[in-house]
Amino acid sequence: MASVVINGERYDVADGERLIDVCDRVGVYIPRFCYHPNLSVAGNCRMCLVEIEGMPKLQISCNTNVRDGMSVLTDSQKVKEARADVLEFIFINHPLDCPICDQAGECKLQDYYMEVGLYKSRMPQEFKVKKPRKAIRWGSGIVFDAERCVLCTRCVRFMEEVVGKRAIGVTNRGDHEEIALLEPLSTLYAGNLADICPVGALTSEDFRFKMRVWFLSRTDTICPGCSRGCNITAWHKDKKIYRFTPRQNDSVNHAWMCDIGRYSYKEENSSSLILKGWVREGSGTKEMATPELLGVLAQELKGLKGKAKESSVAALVAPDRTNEEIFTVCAFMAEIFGSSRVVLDVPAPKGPKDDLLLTGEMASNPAGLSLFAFRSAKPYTIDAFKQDLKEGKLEAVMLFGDAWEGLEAAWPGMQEAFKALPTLAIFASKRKASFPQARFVIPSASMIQKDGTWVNVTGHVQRVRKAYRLNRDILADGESLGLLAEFMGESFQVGKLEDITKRFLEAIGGLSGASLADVGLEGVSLPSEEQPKHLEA
Amino acid sequence: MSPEVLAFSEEAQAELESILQAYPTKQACLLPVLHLVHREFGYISDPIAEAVAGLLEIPFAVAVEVLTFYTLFARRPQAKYVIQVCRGLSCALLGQEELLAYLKNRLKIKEGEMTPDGLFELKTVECLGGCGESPIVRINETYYELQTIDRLESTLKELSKGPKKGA
Ligand code: SF4
Ligand code: SF4
Ligand code: FES
Ligand code: FES
Repeated sequence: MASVVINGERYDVADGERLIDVCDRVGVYIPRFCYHPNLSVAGNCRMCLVEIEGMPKLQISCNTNVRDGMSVLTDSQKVKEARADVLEFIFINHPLDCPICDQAGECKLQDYYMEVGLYKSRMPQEFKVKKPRKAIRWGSGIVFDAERCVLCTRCVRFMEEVVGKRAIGVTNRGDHEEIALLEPLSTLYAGNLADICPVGALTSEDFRFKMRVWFLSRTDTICPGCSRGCNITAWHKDKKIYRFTPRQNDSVNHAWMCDIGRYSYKEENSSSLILKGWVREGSGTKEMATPELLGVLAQELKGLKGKAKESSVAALVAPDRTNEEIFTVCAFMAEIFGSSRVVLDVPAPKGPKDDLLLTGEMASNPAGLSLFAFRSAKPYTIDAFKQDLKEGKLEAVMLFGDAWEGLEAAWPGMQEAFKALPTLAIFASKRKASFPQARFVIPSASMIQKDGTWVNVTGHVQRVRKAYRLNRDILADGESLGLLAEFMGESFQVGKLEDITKRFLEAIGGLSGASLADVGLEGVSLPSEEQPKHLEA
Repeated sequence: MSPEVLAFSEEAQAELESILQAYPTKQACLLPVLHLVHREFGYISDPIAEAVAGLLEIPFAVAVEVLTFYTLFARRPQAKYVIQVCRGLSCALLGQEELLAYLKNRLKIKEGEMTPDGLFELKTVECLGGCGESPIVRINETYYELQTIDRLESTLKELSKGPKKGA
């Protein structure tokens, strides 16, 4: 333990911790370009200078470790002047680009200029060293602009240290120094370059010129791409997502995300979603408002209740549904139909897997699904379901979710097998999930339209958050099932999200007593003995 | 990376071996090897740099970073005679500007350019460390001291007819 004084306030910190990290934690912001908590220290930009008692010169806080008794000033006159001077140097050859630069609004040069700069330029345009390489397409969705670069080398270090490929280098010397792409990026993590570049030198080809960032709202949520569950921010406006960017969470994804996940926002926008449900009638389909549609479905299901000793109604839940939805479906099936025929071992679609983030399971919650499945005394497996289907024991099947590719891959002829069913209803968000055989397609809230939790591959429980609802026909599964029960003349109380989360956490063990609030922004980890084992199987 | 790119003479090969012996890691050999390669081929292009990187088992980017840090490594084939006009303080005071203007005019090229016949190339350099004899013009590895337009002209005439490389 060490005790340090920052701007007159005393803090207890771990000995040897980085000064800039300590300041970040206690809420004293220090400007920086080159420092990034998930990369090695370069110490080349000099923007993070602070005054330390007993040291004649200012020190860079990113490369200073705290020791007991240290007294630091981050805001003294001397520091302010030094920052302004450093900034002026960095600006020497910078072009006047803000109006045409996509970084504007989230650019560190702009921020610091407003904060510590505000001087008149002493560098006439014609004296600037020109690096006229602009809008160079680097491939992998990254666009490079040489003269905007502040040479912080974050991009060089990211490629070398995180991706493991020395693709970017610093060429030439002095004023002529320039970042260069010396090998193709060819990585599934290139998108992060645009995030970590503190200025507009590296921008995202996908996002460029689509929207000024200050018009966008942000919702902190989880990437739906794979079972890593990278923490992300969804940037949206007028019920449309413009981009996903990673959020720092050192127990899940550090500060990174993969490009598959990053660009998956496109599949969360209205053109990919089911906006209104329909029922198949004869050879055609008929669109219907959701309550009406549920009314028709209720009529078909009503007669099935208590008809046979073992219910002839089954449900399948895909590995992309939230824990709360899984819980609700199981409860609904038990309460309304007395059925324990809920298939929870639907496999996730397969995809790329690497040592960094990608898990190979391309769905958001296979771990939650399997944790829940393992804990039921007599799990109803996919094989048992197939058997029942073949023997004609089932009269109605309800499908919940979008990620069915894994099941289809493991079960050739799946679509065919469903054909004989009198009633097949799917509660899905995405167009691609609609089964051609389904009689009923009921629009269900997609990840950006609902609240809930997912469990990631290492047993970390995390929150997805609702940003908006696209229209009144899209309902959360809990709401749909409540209505369905009502139309069947039954009552099914879904309860508040908080309660369901609590009950789910209790049910999977290890986290009883935890609540949605505990899950918070960073998530909570299951104790190691409770972690999902399905991957090893 | 094709090894043929680095077709060394026998002497150069021997020197390479001794450089590799002299340093604890291969990466540490980079600068001496670049010097050697530059002497052998007269320039270091991307394919040559790639071959050097392959030889020393370092990423291409690392080789290029070091290579481009030093402006004296040529990146393309050079003229037979590389004329380097010193523009340090002493030379500047003693007439470098006139010499440079004269050369540009005489050779009809700008700084950094080469004559179409590949004979001459014009560069300016910082202080050559011979201020006592300013102004100085260096042609390839040879210093021409106390230069005047007349002296330069006769050197150029001499070089234009001489068949042998270097002065
Ligand atoms: S391109 Fe961006 S991240 Fe890379 S050195 Fe320049 S400013 Fe830094
Ligand atoms: S690794 Fe998985 S969770 Fe993370 S960004 Fe990629 S797809 Fe999304
Ligand atoms: S952030 Fe400390 S020197 Fe760049
Ligand atoms: S100034 Fe030309 S040699 Fe020193």
